[in-house]
Amino acid sequence: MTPSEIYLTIDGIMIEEFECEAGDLKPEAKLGEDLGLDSLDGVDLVVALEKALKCRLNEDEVRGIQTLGDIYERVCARLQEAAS
Amino acid sequence: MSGGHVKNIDRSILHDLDHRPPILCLDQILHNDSTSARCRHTVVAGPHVHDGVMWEAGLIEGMAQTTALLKGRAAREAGIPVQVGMLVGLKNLAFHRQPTVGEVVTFEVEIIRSLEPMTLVKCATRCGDELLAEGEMKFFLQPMGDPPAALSDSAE
Repeated sequence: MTPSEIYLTIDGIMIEEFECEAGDLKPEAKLGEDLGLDSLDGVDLVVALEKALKCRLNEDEVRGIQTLGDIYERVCARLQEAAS
Repeated sequence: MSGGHVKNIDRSILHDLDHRPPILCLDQILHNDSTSARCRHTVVAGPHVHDGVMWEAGLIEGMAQTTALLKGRAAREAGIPVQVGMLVGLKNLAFHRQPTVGEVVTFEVEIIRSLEPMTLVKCATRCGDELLAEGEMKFFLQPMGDPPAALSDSAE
C-alpha cells in the first residue's frame, strides 16, 4: 500500500467506526480534543487498524499516540517494517 | 436457596471469583485457556430471571463473569496480581432468545485484543447449538493497589 492508501484507510476507519467528520481529519487533529475519542476507544481503534491493514501493532507503537498524524506515522512505519 | 446452589458449583469457580449466588451465574467450567473460556449454567429463579426467563442483563452478567474467570486465572498462572475488572462497553450485542428457568446455557468468551488496561472480548451464549446472544464486550482492568476508578472523568 502507498502512504496515501494507508491514510485513506485510516481516515475511513475514523469515519465509519468513530463517526468522525471527514473535514476534521487532519494530521494535527488530536484524537481526544478534536476527534472525540476517549480512553475507552483505544483498543477498538487498534483492532480496527490491525484488521483493515493486516498488521499487528504492539503496545509501544500505540502508546503515546496523540494525533491522527501519529497514527499515520506509526502504521506506515509498521507496514514498512513488515514489508522489508 | 443460595446455600444449596453453592453445592452445585465447581469449587474452582468459587475459588477464582468473588461472586456468589444469587449473583454468580456460572456452575461449571467447560473450557479455559489463556485466551478463551466456556462455562455452563442452569438457569434458576433469582435476580437474573424475570417472568421465568433470564433477561438480557443476566446473559451479559454470565458472559462478563466468564471473562472475569478467564482473566483472573490467566493472571494467577502468570504469577501477577488479579485485577479488578469493570465492564465498560458493549458492541453489536444481539439477543436472539432468552432462556427459561431449567434450561442449561453456556457462556463463551474469547479475547479479541488486550491493550492495557483494556480488554476486548467476543462473547456468546448458547443453549445446546442454539445461539441465544452474541457480541463484543469491553473491560477496563484496574491494577491492584490503585484507588477505585472514578465513574466519570473529572472536569479539566
